[in-house]
Amino acid sequence: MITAISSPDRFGSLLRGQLKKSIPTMVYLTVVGFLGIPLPYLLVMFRRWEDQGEWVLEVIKTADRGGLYQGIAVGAVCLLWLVGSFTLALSGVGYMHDRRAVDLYHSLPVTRGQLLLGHALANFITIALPMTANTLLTAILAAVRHGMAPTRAVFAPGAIVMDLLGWYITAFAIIVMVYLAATQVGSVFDTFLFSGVYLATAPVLCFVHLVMCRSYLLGWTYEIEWPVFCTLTPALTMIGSYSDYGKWVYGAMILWLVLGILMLWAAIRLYIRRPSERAESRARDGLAVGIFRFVATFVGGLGFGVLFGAITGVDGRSGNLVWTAVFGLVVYFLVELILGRGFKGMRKSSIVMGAAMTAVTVLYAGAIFTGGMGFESRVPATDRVAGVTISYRGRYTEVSLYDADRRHTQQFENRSGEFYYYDMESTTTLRGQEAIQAVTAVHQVLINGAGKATPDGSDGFMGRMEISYTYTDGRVLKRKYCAYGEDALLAALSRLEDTGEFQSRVNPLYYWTAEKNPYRQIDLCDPTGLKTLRLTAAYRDTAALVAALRQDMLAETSEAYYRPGRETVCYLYLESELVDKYSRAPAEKDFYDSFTVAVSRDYTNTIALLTEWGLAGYLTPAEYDMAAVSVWATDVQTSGRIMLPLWQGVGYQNFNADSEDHVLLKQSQAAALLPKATWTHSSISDWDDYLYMTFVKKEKDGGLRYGLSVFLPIREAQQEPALQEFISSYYGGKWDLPETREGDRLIVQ
Amino acid sequence: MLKAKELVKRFGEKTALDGLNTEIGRGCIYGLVGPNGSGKSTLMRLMCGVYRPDGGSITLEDEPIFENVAAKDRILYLGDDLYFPPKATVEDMARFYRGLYSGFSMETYHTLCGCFPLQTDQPLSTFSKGMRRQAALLAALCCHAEYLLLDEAFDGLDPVIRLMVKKLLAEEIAERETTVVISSHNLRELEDLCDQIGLLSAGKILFEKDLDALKLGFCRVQAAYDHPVNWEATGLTILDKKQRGKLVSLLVRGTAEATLPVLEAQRPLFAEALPMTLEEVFIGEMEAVGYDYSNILS
Repeated sequence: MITAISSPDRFGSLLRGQLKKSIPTMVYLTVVGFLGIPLPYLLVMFRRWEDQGEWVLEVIKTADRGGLYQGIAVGAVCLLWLVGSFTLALSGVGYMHDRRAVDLYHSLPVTRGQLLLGHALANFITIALPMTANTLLTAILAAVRHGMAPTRAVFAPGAIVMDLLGWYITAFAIIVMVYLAATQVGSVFDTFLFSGVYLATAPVLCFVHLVMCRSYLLGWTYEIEWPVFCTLTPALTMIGSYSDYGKWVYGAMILWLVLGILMLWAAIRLYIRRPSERAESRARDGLAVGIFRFVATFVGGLGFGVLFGAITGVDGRSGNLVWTAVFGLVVYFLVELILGRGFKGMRKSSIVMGAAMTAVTVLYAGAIFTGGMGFESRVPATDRVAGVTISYRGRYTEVSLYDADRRHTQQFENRSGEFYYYDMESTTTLRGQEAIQAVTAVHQVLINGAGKATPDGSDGFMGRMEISYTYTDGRVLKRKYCAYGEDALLAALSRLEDTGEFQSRVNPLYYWTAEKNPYRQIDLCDPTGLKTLRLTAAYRDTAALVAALRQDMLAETSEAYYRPGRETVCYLYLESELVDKYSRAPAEKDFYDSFTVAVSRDYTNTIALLTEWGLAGYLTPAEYDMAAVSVWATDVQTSGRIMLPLWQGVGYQNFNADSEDHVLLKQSQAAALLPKATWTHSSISDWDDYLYMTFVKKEKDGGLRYGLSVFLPIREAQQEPALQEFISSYYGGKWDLPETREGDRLIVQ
Repeated sequence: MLKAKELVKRFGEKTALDGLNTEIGRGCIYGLVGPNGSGKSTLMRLMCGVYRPDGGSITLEDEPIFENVAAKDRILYLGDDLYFPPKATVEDMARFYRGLYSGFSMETYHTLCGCFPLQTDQPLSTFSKGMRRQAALLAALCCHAEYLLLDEAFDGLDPVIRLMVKKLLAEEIAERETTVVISSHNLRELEDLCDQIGLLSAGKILFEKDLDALKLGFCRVQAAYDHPVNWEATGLTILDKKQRGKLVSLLVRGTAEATLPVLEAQRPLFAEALPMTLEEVFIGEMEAVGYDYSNILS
């Protein structure tokens, strides 16, 4: 056994030597760090403004929870510590890539593990000391500032410590990644390249996969959460912590600490196995090189493949596949050319590897282009579904339903107590087999063509439709479509709307009882909106009216509601007391906001009661003196696949004569057009085939009062000479009649 | 003892050392000669643990050297192309080696600082090639390693320093029984220094011998005759013969003492033995094995 004469502290000596060399860098980083971090805080910490004769310290807004990074400091922190760690590590591994340095260092009586650790630790300390110094200095400033005005400056020592710890781990992980790459390549440039590969591969592949799925998979809805994305690389973790602070940061820190330790172990093992003669050689082997080749082939092949597929426009997805194969190979050999510094060093195995990597890329693209291996066509069997949530609320889309579980609290500014507000529910969750079956039928129609991966601007576009199934075993299947109002889809949605369970989830009166009637005030107006009346519980049995209305609403089928000729005889605005009540006290269960009902001629119970109350006069259009015809405008609310005028009770005015360009028609002209108008209009067909005709009443003082609107088809409106020029000014010759009649035009404002 | 057994080292498809065997004992200067690309530097890097063998073994006292800190503590290697950390001075290098080699002596360092005409506080990057070589030798000698591996050790040194280094090496051997392995592609450089010579060719030691034994095996003689001589009849093993007029010069296997009487018997005008250079000895040895020696005598 060989024994040394004595055992000098070789590792310590090596480390001290490295640190001594790093002193100028440390000083440099400390100075730059000072300019970027404590200085901005120092500049604002004494800033004051005058308030009613008193000088008040300004509020210090910081990007971190600890209360340190003010202004540009957060950018400086991220840039300095990330770039600093990376470049320091690159300089630290330089000795591995210099044959002369390798001769010196590898002949020394130290193990390679000690050598690597010594260099890496020196790099870490070189960045960690300036980091610590600047953070502590800023923390002292923040503590002082917090002491001066505790409510106007955040100072959280715990968060500062965690932030610093996060940066230590980030620097450690980045340095280790660089060393890991360095053990497998022969030059600093290749180390730069391949450590970049390690740092960026996971987010890049994740991003490319998401883009592919988003672009080509019908129904794709899965998105990576920002914290998860930031956890994929240590380069993003701390940046993510400033934009989305949460417990995920701790998880990410632990993950990168553990991964860092594992990578360090791997780096040491690889370094021991690393042939010294690799220094200054061409980097063509190793994990990093393999990953780099694959990522380049994959991303380049897909990117250029899809791009050229789009340019050439040959047979959509199969064209893309061919181009993907071509560009996969092109990019692979281009990378080989760069890595091998020419064709000369290219091996035969490279060709096989290139073909294999391209094949994997093409297989992946093929899988996506052909429906993601059944992803697009998958509709769950209803007996395996425990529940389904669909982003569809039918005709009650605009009736706000507040979720008691998603409550927020806000402090009143000028009085004591708390103010509560709630998130709105925009989806419907169903658990019964009949309703689930109806949803799967909708889903099937969407798959069959009524749903598109991306909206194409078609006239029948209904909007985003999301379906989320929860299986009986707890698994979840989600899909998202851009829905188009094709007949099959509308029929399927109607069947869904008519199920009892769907009604129970969306109809605000479904569970209504007279005992707990929140609608103590109901406003009534005639179809023109010119004649209004407030019905209050003090004078009328509003509960009876709601009961009648409930009966009629539940009886009305989708077919009846959506039929084009549905006539509105009056509007009822049901004002709920619950919104006010639950803003002052927490709601125990979900509750609806106030809403308007367009009462149709089929609402026999409601009409009968109103007639009984002597309000029959409100069930026919009131007298009007004129009608304002406009192109845009009047507030409307969509209700399922139709839209109707928006009215929110007595005093609500939805036509603004000052801002809407319009033509005023005489009563006789309007009356002639009224039979051709409709009370509702499709919200999923062309939006430029109708005009608004708003009823107008002359007041005694000469002023004009505007009521509600009906929808006037342009083709019909064009028959009225007074509107022809107005229509032409907006639509050019699109709606011109074969022969334009002259004269008989009214005032054009 | 440094021992290589069936040592193999490959660089890609090229085999630099191909089943090399050698043993280098303590207290000698071993000259490693061979043409460019013969594997001298590779062997040295294997001896100090820079390279890991691809086959066979290289050991110090029967223990492998690669990743063996104790073994490497006894070996110091100076490459042919020296490296110093950026901005390092001679003092820095001394500190660097002091922390790593257990045998490092500051006393020796101060002594040697007086021998080498160097400014020890100046960055080595400002030094000339010869001065950098001096600095490296200075630091290396302070380590008192048992095995000193010097690749092209005298490259760039002026004759005075070269002589001094040779003297220092001799002292080191005398005082500490240090083994010095010196490689060179130039025989003349090693002639007056080595005890033992190993000729490396095509990744193998072609032969290795003590220099004295080598020299004893041959002699060069010259004589003048005014009549023709039938040399084949003399019974001498003549390896090289050059004739210019009456003067004939012979490289003969055997000692001068045994050869001169044979020349005298042929009635020369005069006959004498000449001192032999290492080159001539090598020529003899290599001709004996049919080796083309021209590229190591440049």
